[in-house]
Amino acid sequence: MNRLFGTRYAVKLDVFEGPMDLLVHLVIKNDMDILDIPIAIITEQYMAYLEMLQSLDIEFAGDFLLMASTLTHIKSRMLLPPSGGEEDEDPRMEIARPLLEYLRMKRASEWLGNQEVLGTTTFARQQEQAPVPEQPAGEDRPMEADLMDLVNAFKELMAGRYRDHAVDFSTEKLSVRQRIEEVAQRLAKKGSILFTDLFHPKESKAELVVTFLAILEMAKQGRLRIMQHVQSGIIRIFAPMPGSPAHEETALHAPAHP
Amino acid sequence: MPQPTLKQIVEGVLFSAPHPLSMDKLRRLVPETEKDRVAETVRELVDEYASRDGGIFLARVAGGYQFRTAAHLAPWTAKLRQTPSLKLSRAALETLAVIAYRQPVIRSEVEYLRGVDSGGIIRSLLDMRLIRVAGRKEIPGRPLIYATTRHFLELFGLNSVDDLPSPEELGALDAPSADESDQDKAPAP
Repeated sequence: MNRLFGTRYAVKLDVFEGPMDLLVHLVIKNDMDILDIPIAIITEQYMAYLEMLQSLDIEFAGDFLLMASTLTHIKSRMLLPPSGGEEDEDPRMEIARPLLEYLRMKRASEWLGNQEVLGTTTFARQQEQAPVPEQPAGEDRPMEADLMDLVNAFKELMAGRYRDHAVDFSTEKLSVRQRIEEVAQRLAKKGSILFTDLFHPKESKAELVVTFLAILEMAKQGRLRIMQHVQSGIIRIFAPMPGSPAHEETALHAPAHP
Repeated sequence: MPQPTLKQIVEGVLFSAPHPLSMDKLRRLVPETEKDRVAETVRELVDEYASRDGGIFLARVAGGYQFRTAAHLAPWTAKLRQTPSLKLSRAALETLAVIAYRQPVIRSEVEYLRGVDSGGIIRSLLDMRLIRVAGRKEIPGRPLIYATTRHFLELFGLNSVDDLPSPEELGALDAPSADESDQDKAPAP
């Protein structure tokens, strides 16, 4: 199994990631001019490569077959005499244009790869250093969880359940507003709750989503704070700071984007 | 204590800041100073550090300025860094390039250009915060639109996406890239 997958990836991903990659390789190997590709030769070599993959019992993506049909189609159109109409463009442009575009992107990606990337060859002042006073030192302290952390936690939660594809056709009325009140009551009673404890093991997927939405909405309104333990990654929900005005203070920060 | 000069202030602030500081931010720090003087001072500092040819330089990135270490010092400076550095596969770089050049762009456009399924790579670029979802395209299926982030600019040392070199600047199109051709090939005329 492992060996098989190894071979498959070695051929499909490392050497030629896709049909474009293979075509570029053939063009370069044969020293061809992209704007004047000998379509018969390249089609033949392309097919030979696919056949080789097949004989090695290596599966390849449908993308490779699509390209094969495009090449064959161009080849057949080349055999037809020019119609003299307005659409008398060289049929090979259908492949030349995307190839040029692909090469352009390849160049750009090489350029990106050669950049002096921050944190790799060039360095700036570390961003995460401001020590928060009166907090346990080191990694044993909570920090504000951001949206990504929360979404990841929810993903994990969902992944842990529903391995079996049980379908429940019963319909229930679920309201985010109602769930918000429930969470708020629990928070008021306990002060803080583990993120995972907010989700009952027997709840349906829809109910989990409603609870998650309720948490997001409450964070937005400043009705709860979401903290994550730095080391363990455990997320805990807290009641809002006393005196903090709701609708203004939010503990949930979406990643800052321009 | 003598009154600090504007240059001292700007230099000190830039030195201590964890993020690139925009000209606007710098101006707001010294509101009593003429706007042009701040810009002038930053330019002087950039030139000074460049001509000094020392271990750090004042880089213009993501719409701001930031002190960074010289790249050729990496064998030494990298030793201090505990966080793993950014490692992107060839496919990830390619996808990132397509998105950087074609943004705002949807997944099917990326896949058309690359000729292969790119969903997984797009997701990991999102996780790395190099790209972001910039909305939905109002066509059937309302696909997500992707664009690069400020974090992308900061990491790759770009001031803005306009800083990306044009295809012409990247060299002749039909000449194969260096790592691809092992045979000698005359460049396109």
